[in-house]
Amino acid sequence: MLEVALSTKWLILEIAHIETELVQVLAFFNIVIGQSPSATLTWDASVQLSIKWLFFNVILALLPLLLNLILVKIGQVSTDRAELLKDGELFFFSTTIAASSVGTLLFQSPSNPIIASVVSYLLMTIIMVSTGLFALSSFLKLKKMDVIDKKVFSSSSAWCAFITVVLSYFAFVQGGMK
Amino acid sequence: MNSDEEKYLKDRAKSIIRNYSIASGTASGALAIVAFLSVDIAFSTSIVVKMIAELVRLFGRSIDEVKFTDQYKALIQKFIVVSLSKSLISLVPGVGNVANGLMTYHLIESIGWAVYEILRDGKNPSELDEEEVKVYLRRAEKNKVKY
Repeated sequence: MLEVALSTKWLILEIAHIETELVQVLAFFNIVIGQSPSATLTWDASVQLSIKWLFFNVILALLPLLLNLILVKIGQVSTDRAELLKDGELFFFSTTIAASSVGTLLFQSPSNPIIASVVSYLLMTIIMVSTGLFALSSFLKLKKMDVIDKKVFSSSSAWCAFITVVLSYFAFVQGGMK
Repeated sequence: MNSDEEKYLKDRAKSIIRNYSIASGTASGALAIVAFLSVDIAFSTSIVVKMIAELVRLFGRSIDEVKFTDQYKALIQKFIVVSLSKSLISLVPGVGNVANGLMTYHLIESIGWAVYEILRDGKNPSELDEEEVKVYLRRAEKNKVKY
């Protein structure tokens, strides 16, 4: 029980720390993509909306993986990151986040149509890549074929998820942070 | 080799070649948009290597006999040439993904049947010259419908 409590406390502290750092990063992104908070929203409101978006769209969506990580730590399972992500769970995560962001860009009037088109194209690409690679991973698992190196697969899925989160945030800002 | 044994080998080879062709086609279809960076080739090459190893084992041979010789590279070379020719269509989302996936599927299938025929004829892929490998590939492209 003590270990569970300590792990949970550690996780909460980590999330709080990450959130503090992300406030600055997200504010920077707002400036880079030309969506000045003063144009439509105050700076604080824009940062708050960004944190809400991050929490509800990214952190909550990643809870199954985070719980898995906690269980692995508590159970003292000797495994590496590649083993945890080799089944392509992050590809599944990327597809859902990217699909929802494409919807945002299509049905909200974007502040910059050119950036919105580029981001939509990239998100569509991510949907195709992550869908295909998730299907491939499931096929290989069912057929018990050990074809692709699990390290290559897990790091591709982690990069895919990271790029998706960044692009989805762009889509969120382009859609007026609604 | 009697007909029962040949049928068994053909059926097993069919299953191996189909599985690896599907895996490779899916990887290439998914990675179509980055095909110009040869990312799909890297994935598919690894799949082809495993497929050939499994076919060699099916015929009771050691993979050490085949290894990575010039002749073996000729098989992969054709694969790369076709991969480059499909790069432009790959950039069209959706259509490009399907086209890239299907082309790779058929290519890997041909390579698989070419290796099957080489092994069935009692030859060692390492001992064939580039021209012979190409002849086997062309023959496999025609014959694979019958299999």
